[in-house]
Amino acid sequence: MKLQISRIVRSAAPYIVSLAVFLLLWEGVTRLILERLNPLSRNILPAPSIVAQTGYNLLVSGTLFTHIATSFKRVVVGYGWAVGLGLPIGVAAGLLPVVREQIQPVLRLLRPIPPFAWIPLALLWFGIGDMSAFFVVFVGSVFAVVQYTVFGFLNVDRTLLRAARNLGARGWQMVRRVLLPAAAPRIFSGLRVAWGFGWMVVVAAELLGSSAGLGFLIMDSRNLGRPDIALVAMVAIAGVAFSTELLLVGLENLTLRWRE
Amino acid sequence: MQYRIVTILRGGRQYALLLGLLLLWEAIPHIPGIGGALIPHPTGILKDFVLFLLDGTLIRHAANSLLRVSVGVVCAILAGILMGSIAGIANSLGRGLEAFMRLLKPIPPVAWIPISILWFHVTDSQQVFIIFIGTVFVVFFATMDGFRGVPLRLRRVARSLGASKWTIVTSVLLRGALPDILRGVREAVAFAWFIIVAAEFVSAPNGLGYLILEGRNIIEPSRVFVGAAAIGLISWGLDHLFVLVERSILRWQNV
Repeated sequence: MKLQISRIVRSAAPYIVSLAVFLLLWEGVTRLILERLNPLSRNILPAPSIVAQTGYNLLVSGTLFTHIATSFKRVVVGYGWAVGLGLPIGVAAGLLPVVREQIQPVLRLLRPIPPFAWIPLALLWFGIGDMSAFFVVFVGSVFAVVQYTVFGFLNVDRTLLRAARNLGARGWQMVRRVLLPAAAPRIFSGLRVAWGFGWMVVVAAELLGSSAGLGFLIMDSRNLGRPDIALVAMVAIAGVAFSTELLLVGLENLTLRWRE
Repeated sequence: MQYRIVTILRGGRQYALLLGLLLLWEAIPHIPGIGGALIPHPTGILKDFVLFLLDGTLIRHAANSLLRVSVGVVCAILAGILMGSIAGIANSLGRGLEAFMRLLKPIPPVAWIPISILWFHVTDSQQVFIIFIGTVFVVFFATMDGFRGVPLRLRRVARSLGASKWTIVTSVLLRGALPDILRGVREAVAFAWFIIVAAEFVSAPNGLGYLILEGRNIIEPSRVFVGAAAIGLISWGLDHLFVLVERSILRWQNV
């Protein structure tokens, strides 16, 4: 127990130290140099203490939480569609060569389209609001799900397959007990990558056409000339994306416990 | 002859679904009451693509984007390799740098757009900055992993043969990390072509991202696909070019 705590402390130390050095440098440069040269510099690069103060105000008033919840809902729904559709397609394409053969040319045509390019289309089709954000997150993350899943099945160790077949595994049993577990690590990577994409794309979608969400908060703060709000929102996005990804990693480790 | 047609048909069989979807797509805008003006059909997109290509619009926008992407990616490669090597070699400094980069990485590149407009105003440097911030992490982590992945054995051999510290860094570590670094650079270039779209949405008077957004602003949705197709083609071409370069640089790997 004690050993574990000291291990956690040791692995967290570089993060704490580098963050502290960074914040101190930032505070020093803004307070001692920039603000003395030009009192208006806080409208361009505010000191971290100002950002923290703004962050606290936004947190207490509940504004920040509302925007986080809006963005979170959008990512979850769009990502849910992407997983709901992408996973079955990926599994089918991974298991059946006929499906794979048909689906690959379609993917090859659609995948090079930058996910952000769907934003103007979504705005045209669905207008400003939740629906276009769902769609953009869906399109932005579905390809990663399909691709990693297919890749996972294609890279299953042949020896494993032969051994299972020799031992009498057939059909469904083969899929359930051999193929699926062997492909699972890559499928999980796909789910993680797609989640990251979802967050990246939702910010862009909200930047362009939305009246709520963290991307909107960032854009709005620019229009208000309040970079401190933008920085708070950036930290919030990073925080939510980072902690939810940790959650996914935890889920992965729990599901794939047999790996060790 | 007949045999040939059969093989072509058999080879073309895999495009059945693609063809079916394209036909369906072509038909959808013609169904009354579905708002066909907002759904561009494939032949219209193709027509516009050729049109824009011939009158030079597409080339002009593509050249603007290419310039921004190139400058941003080159800066990201230089900074990424420099910092990645430090993080890969030096122990405590490297760990601090790694932690710092890990903390910054989850901020989506797009989220930097508004604040970078405050810093750089609406200029090319602002879009270059977004490309830089979006790709530097890929190069950094690839370089760091590459350096750390060089077997300790090689380092010891070099040292016992009398190599200086600098020689070890440049000709053992850097060379050993090269395949990883190149993989990172390749990913960075591909990613840059994704991000340029968003970077040019908000604050550019030209470029392929601008062309795409214009499709919405003047309700010409086929422009979105023309721009996206151009980006797809460019990044596909660059990727193939890169594979060739990579192969010639890493020739020693296969010997």
